[in-house]
Amino acid sequence: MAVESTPRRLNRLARAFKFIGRVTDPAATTSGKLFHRLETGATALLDRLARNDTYLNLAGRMMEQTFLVQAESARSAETLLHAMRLPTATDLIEVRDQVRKVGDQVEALSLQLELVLEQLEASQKTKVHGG
Amino acid sequence: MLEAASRNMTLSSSVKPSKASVGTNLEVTSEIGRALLRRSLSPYPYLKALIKRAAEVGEPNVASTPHQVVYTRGSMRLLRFPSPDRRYRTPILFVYSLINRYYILDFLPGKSLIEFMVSQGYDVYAIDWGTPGPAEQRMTWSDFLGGIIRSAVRWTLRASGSPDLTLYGYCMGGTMALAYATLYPEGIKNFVAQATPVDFHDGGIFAQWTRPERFNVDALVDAYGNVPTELMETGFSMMAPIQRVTKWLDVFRRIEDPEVVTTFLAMEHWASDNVPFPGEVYRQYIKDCYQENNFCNGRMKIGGERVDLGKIRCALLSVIADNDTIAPPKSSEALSRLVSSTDKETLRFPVGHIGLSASSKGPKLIWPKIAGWIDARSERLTRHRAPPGE
Repeated sequence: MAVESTPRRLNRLARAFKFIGRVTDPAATTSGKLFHRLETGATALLDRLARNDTYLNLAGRMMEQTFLVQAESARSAETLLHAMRLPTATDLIEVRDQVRKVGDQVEALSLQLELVLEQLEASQKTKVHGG
Repeated sequence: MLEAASRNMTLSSSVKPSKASVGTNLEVTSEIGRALLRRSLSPYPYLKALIKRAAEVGEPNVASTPHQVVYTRGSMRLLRFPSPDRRYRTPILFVYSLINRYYILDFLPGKSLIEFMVSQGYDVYAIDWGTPGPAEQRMTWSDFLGGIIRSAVRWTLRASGSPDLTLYGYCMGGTMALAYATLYPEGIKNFVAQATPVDFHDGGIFAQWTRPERFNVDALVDAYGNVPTELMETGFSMMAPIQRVTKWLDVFRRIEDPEVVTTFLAMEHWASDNVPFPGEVYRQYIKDCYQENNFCNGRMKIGGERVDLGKIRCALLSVIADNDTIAPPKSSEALSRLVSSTDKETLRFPVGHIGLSASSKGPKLIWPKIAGWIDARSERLTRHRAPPGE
């Protein structure tokens, strides 16, 4: 026989969230219906905006300017630091890149060594069984 | 067998209500304060602590399937999810996207694709790309495919004791894995492409946003190196900015249901867990895929080699989400026409992009079919000849 459990008593915060959910629920309240209409309208508007060629081209140009300014600013900072014979972020990245490549080469070498060892073991086993 | 396993999986272990873990007033305030300082765009860091307190739930138990780290390289980790009752010699290697974190594949107990495959007896592996940093900034597609994925495949075969594997790519991870399969087909027995964009001419809204006349990817990468998380987050927010906020109202209405709240918080946790995108990979991805659509037309070059999908001959399963707005169905449908595989199949499901790995339909409807396809093409383990490492 199923035992009915008592609904958990909600704390104050949960009741506040429940209230917000209710006043915005189109299935429960008139304010919810109004909210839903606003939401649907705003969604359609922003969706049209997100696909509007004029807006996208404008946004793209503004972003490009931001990126170019950022790149130029970083280049200027690096030029100044290099003039003072100080290392820059790019120098560190280049060092990291070299270290990574060395690590890749070490890994490739160890793999080749393992293959050679495996082949040696295999040929020794063949000699033992054959001899 | 597959249905019985999915029935046995319960959702209850994803919910761990604990008064001790829901946070004091100070903890709630400091979490919100940290979110304000970071100027986070997502509502998640502001509301998380309050929702947990209201619903009296703890931290969602994401990425909980037991695993070991088999191999690491830079920020990447190769994870092994050993099966307690391994039935198949042929392992599965998941390659997820560089956008967001891998653990959408290991979402919550009872809603985890990886957990499901492990329960079916597969030896499962997954690449966790980690958090790319300055060391990954100049890495190219060639470094990722020929270096990292190739090592992951090698180590998967070595650890599992199998001569070949099922390569399972999801989203952009599928695109990368497809490119890998054309250049390095050795050891790939089967290929599963899940929600994988192939024809970027039908790439949806992202294709519109990244058109070369309006999106200067060179300027972006030259300015920042790795693509910052704020930019990635802004892009995703623009897809549905109103729903980003109003979806929280659904949780408010069901605040008394710990299962609903925990699942929602877990999804928001994952969605806000953005990582920087390696700059040079991003540059080529946008140019060769979205802007010039070279990937599916055989014009994309990686390490000087052309990516020709016609070189793929292994068994192929294409899994498509009918309601996918990130990898639209038309974008994924092209794959079947382009490969040379004779054994190929397409499965379609009425879910969204993320729904393929995190929806409640997963264990009941989607994953059993995928596992069944892989089952028919995987070598079974003979008990008296356990592979090394078992």
